[in-house]
Amino acid sequence: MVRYALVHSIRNAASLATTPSRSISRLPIIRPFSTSRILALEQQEGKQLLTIQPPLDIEYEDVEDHPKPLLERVRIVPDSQSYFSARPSFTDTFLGVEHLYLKWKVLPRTATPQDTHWTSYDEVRAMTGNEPVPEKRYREMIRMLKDLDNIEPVVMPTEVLRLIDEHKRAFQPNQVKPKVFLVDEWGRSLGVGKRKTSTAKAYLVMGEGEVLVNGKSLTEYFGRLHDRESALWALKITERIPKYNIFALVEGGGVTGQAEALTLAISRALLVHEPQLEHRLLEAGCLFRDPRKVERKKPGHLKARKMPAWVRR
Amino acid sequence: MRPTTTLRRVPALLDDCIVARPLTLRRPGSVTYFSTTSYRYAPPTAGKKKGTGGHGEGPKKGRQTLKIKRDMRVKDATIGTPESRKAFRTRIILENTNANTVPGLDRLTAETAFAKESIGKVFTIPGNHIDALRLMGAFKRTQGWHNYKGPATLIRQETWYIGQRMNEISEAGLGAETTRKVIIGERKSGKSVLILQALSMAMLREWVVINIPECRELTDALTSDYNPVKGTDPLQFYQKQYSATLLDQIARVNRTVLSKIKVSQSHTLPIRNLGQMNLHQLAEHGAAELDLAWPVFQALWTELTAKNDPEVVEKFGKRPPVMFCADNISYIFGESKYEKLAENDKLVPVHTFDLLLPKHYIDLLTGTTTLPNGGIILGATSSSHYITCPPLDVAIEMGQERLQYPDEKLEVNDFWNPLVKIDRRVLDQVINIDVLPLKGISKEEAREIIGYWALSGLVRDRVQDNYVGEKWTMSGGGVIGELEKAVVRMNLNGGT
Repeated sequence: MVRYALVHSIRNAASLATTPSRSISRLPIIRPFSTSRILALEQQEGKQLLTIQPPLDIEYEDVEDHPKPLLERVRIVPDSQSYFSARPSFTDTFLGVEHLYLKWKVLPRTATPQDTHWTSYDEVRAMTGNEPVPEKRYREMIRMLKDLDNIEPVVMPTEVLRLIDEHKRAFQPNQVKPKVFLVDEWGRSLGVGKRKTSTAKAYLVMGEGEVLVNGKSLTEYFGRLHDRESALWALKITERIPKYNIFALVEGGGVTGQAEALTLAISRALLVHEPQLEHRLLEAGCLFRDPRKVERKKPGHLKARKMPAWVRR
Repeated sequence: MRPTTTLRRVPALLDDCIVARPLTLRRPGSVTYFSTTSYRYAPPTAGKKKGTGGHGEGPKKGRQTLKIKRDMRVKDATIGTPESRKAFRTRIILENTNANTVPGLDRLTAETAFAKESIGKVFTIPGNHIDALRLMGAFKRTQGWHNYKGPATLIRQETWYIGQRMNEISEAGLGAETTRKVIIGERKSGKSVLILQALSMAMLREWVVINIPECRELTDALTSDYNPVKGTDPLQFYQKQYSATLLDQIARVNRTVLSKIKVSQSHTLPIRNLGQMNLHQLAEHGAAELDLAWPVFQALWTELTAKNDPEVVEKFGKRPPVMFCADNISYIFGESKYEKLAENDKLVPVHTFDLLLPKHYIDLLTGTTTLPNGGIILGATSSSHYITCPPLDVAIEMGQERLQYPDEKLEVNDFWNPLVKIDRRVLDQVINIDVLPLKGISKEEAREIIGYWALSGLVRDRVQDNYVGEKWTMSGGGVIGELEKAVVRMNLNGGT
C-alpha cells in the first residue's frame, strides 16, 4: 500500500486539533528532515508526493500503459529509516516518538512538569530484542516523551496518551497515596502502626476509656505500667484517655515493640476522629514510624559490630 | 601588617569571630520519634577510648603481659542471721507516721460495714481487728499498707455482697445456709484484700474466723511436717506443726467467741476435765501439744458444727457461724511435695487430698461437708505465685459460665482440653464450685480511693475527672492494685 508523506498527515492533524484554528494557521508547517530524493523534491515543488514502502506492497495498476516498467521509473525508498539501521525496532520506536513530538510541538504545555516514571534504558533494550541502542538516543527519546507528557490535559491528543502509556512504567511511585482512613458507620476509626518487628491495628470509638488488646485487658496484656503508658501515649498527652474505647490487635515482636507499635496505631486512629490534634501528636513524636531495627550480623564479627577478642597468635 | 602587630591584634580578631548564637533545644524541621529509650538524652559519645587493658585489646606498649583489672568493688556485708534477715524482709508494716491523717474517715463497724451506702467508701479497720488480722496472716507484704497512717479499706461491690450473705446467714439462725465461693480475678485485683475484709466483717458479726494465709505452706514440704494415720487406705497424713499453729491462731483471734461456748460432746482426748472446758481452752490445749493438735482440731470442729438445738444452746452456748478462708488455693488441688513409699518400693508424691487439714478445707469449700449453723467458706486464687491446676481451671471456667448462663446445662467435655493431663480425683471434687470474679472497681469507687490517697499526701496531681479516668484506664479498668501502682507508688522513691 502506498503512503503519503508525513507532511500531509501533519497538516491534516493540525486542522483537527482542538486548539483554536487561528493560532494553528499562523504556525509554519513542520517537515520532517529527510535526505531521500522524493521528500527533497516535494519540498522544492510544494507538491505532495508519494513515499514508497519496501518493495512488497506496491500497486502495479499503470504498468501496462507505460513504455517503461515501474521499477525502472522509480527508485524504491523505504518508508522508515530503520530499513538501513542495525537497530530497526528501536529506530521505529524512536521515530514514532519523534513524529508525535514534532507533530504536537504547537500544543500548550503545563506550567509544572509531570512526574512520570519512564521505562529504563535496560527495559527499552530488552523490548527491542537487545538491539545496540545508544544511550544518548534513549535519553533523547525520553526527553521528547517528557515534553509530550507535559501537554495540557485539555488538549492532550489520544495518540499521545497511547504513546505515553506504552513508555510509562507500570508502577508509578508518585501515584501511590497513603490510604485514607475514615470513621466508619459504627463510629470506629482504624489506625495501623509498626515498631521493630511488631505490627498493631487499633480501632478507636468514642467511649469511657476501656481498652482491649488481643481480647485481654490492658493490665493483663502489658504487665509493665511503662508499656501501658507507651501504648496510650497519644491519648495521654492530648488528655483523651477517658474519651475513647480502644480495640487493638497486635502481633509480632516483643512487649516493648508491640506497645510502641500501638502508640503509632492509636495516634493515627485518633487523627481520624480529631485531625486538629496533628500538631500536638507530631510534637510528641507519635506520628513517625521509628525506623530503627536490629542491626544485622556481619561475617567476621561475633555480632553486628563485635569483633573476636584479641589473641597473641 | 607586621607580625608583632598581628599577634597583638589576635584577641580582637577572635572577638570578631565569636558570634553569640541563640541556644535552641530542637533544630527546626528535625524529626521526633516516639521512644521510651533514653539514648536521646545520653551525653555525646566521647569517641573511642584508648585501651586500658580490657578484653579485646592488646597489652600496652612496652608491657610484656596483658593485665586485666579486677573488680575491686566491695560487696554489701550481710548483717544478722539468715532468720533475722528473712524476718526483716517479710515484716509487715501497717503504719506510716509521716503520712497525713485523713480527716473524716469512719471506722468499720457493724452498722457501716453492711450498709449499701458504704459501697465506694473508705473505712479504717478497727484497732482490735488489726492484731487479729495480722495474726491470721491476712495482711500481705505487697499490699502497700506501709504507706498510710493506718490500715483503711475500700468497701466495694463484692465486699458488700459478702456482707449481705453474712447478714442472711446470721438472721437465718438454725439451718442457715453456707456460702462457698472461690474468688478469682487477674493479678492485683484485690482477692486477698477481699478475704481480709470478709474476716474483719465476720469478726464484727462475732463469727468464728479461721484463715489459711498461704496454702503453699501446707504442701511444699518445707514449712510443715507430716505424719501417717494408721490403718487408712489410701494412707492419710496429718500435719502436727501446722495444726498447732492454726489452733493457736484460732484460740487467740476468737478468744471472746470461743470462751462463751462449752464442750458439749465427749471426745477421746487425753485431756483432763475436758467436760468443763470451753472451746477456747480446748484450742489452747491443742496449740500447746503438737501430738494433740490434729485430734483437738477435729474435736473443736465437731463442737463448732454441733447443731444449735435450743437445749444445747441453753446449756453449752450458741455456736456461731464460721468464716473459713484460704488464700492461693491452687496448691492444695493436686500432688504435694511430700512423698510416701508406694507398693513397688518407690517414692511417690502424696496427693493433697490425703493430707487431712487441706482435705478438711476442700470438703468445706466444695460442699462435701456442711455447716449446720451456716457460715462462709472462701478461697482465693493467686495470679502471681501459683501452680497451674488444670482441674481447678476447668471448674473455674465452668463456674464463670454458670454465672453468665445460670439456666444452661454445662458439659465438662466442653471445658476440658484433652491434651492436658487432668486429675480426675480433683476434678470430681471441684466440678461444682461457685466463683466470685473480681474485676476492676468502678470510676466512682476509683475516685473515692484516689481521694483517700491524696488526703494521705501521696498524690501529686489534682484529683479531677480526667485524672481519675486516665488512671482508671491505665490500671486496666480499675484493677485496684494497678491503680495504686499508677497513682501512689510511681510517686514514691523506687516505685515501691
